[in-house]
Amino acid sequence: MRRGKGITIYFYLFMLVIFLPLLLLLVFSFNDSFSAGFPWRGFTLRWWETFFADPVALTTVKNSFVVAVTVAVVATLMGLGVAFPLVRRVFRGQNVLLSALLVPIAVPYLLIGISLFSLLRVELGLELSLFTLAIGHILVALPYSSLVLMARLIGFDRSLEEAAQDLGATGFTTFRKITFPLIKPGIYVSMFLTFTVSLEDAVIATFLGGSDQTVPMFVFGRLRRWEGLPMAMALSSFMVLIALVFACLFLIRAVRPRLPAPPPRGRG
Amino acid sequence: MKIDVELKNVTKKFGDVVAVDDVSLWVGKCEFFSLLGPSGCGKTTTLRMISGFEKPTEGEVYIGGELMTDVPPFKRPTNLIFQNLALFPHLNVYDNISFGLKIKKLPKDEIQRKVKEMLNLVRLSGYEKRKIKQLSGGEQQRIAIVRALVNEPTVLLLDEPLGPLDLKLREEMVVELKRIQREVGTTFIYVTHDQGEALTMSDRIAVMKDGRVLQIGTPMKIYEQPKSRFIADFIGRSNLFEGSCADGVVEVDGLGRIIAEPGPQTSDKHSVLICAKPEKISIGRKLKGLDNIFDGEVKETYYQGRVTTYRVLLENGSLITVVVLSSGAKDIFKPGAKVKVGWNKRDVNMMM
Repeated sequence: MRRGKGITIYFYLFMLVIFLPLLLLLVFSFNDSFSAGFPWRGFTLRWWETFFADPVALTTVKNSFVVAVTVAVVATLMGLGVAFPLVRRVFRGQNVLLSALLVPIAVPYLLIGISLFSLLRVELGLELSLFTLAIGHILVALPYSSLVLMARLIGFDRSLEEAAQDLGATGFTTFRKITFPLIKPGIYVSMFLTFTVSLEDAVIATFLGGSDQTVPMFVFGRLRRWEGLPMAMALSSFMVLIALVFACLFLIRAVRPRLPAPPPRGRG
Repeated sequence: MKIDVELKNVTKKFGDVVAVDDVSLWVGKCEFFSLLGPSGCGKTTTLRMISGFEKPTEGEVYIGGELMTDVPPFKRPTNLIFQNLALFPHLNVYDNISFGLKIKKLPKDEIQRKVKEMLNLVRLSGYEKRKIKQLSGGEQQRIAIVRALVNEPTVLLLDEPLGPLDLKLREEMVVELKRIQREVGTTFIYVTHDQGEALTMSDRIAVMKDGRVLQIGTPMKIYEQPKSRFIADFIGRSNLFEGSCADGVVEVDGLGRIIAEPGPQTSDKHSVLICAKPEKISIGRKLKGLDNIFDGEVKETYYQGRVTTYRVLLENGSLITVVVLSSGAKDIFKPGAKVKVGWNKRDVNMMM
């Protein structure tokens, strides 16, 4: 099949815009220099060594992942709880709930951070920790998980569930054997998106993390001093690599079932 | 005859809409029973009440002699073949067919044997590992049928499963379905709006309209002796004449007398409806020996291969349809031709 040249050029430009900055980040984390850029002053593992030798840096990585995984699981479960009734039932206030879901996307993270800080810390008197941070991240991640799962459920053929029941499956068996496998791609996408929302946030983390730092806060801190930059780049590169691995794991599994099937054999 | 399914005064309302209105019927063991009617007549809702997906607002559903009105679908001895088939897209052919058996926790070798038997029944042996998307429309159809049949239901329910197929495939599947039903000897309840399918396969047909059952009978009875104008027109089209009847003679305005056999319902002097099927009417330049003969003029001629259809204008201004077997170019009447049309009294049906 012949494609236009334009689309090929567009494809490569697209890939370049996405991957070039990340690639440069990775490359300069091996540059024997304190500046984040050319000239190239020789290959070094120094910055990666300082990163892996720094217990504080490693703790922030651990913190980031603990929070991000919690957020991915909880926000996706809550998203399921919201998406099912929104798609499958008709009830009063449905549209209000749907609009309310979008609010966390529309409101700047700064405001969400401040308002959650005053609610959780000032009003409820909670100690700031990874726990309060996870609450904040779940709030901003919920719209993403809900919308992704709703999209999956809207395209879901209910007669498949009826067919399972007709063949003797109870409600729970039907969910386990039919509904869940079929919405699994949506669950993968939802977990990936919410995981990322949490992993990349520095703003809400500043308000709600307390003394428990995550990677973005730590990197921000390091950037105040010029000699902190290279190690931050090694740390960031590490996070990017991890994110890419997650993206591959989640998204490839999510997309594969929807790739075009082999053409059907002749009719009859 | 042993009765497998019985509906007693079943009514289903959705809000203010009455979908099924006081339906009573029974289906005998091993019978091929069809619910036939135009879309929106309540036939699918009736089927869904038998399968348990809808609960009747009033009335009772019995299956195999047991009251089933409040029994959920997964506990009923019925299996339904859905309009869109509803094959599980993430499972292969084997896992689709064995779905019900695995839930019943049958031993694995028995499941394998039964699936194999079923694939043999529909001539798809060796298809176990195929993905649903790799099957053609007709193959999917057959898999959906055996996925239900393998559970050995008391009653198999079919909700217009041949709808999406093209005409030729449908005709093949009609023959195939009837063969399967004969071989397994299960009671079939078949929902369709296609009178051809219903007439071909059914032992008995219930004709439905606006949520009510209008007539139940064998295909021949329904076709030859429709009980109402709607059925006469819905099944195989009919030429209808209104008139007033006395002593087996019907006066039709502008046309004269029609000699008819008084049906069992007729007594003296009242208005009746005469129904003459298009293929029961003869057409020719001269006609002899028929009880009723009228003059007419051919208005339209449709040569359709096996048959030729004429639209003939009678003296009273009514257009009737006549269908005859095609018999070559010499004998075809062109539009404008003066002809005679006629029929014997026993070939038409009279209604109140």
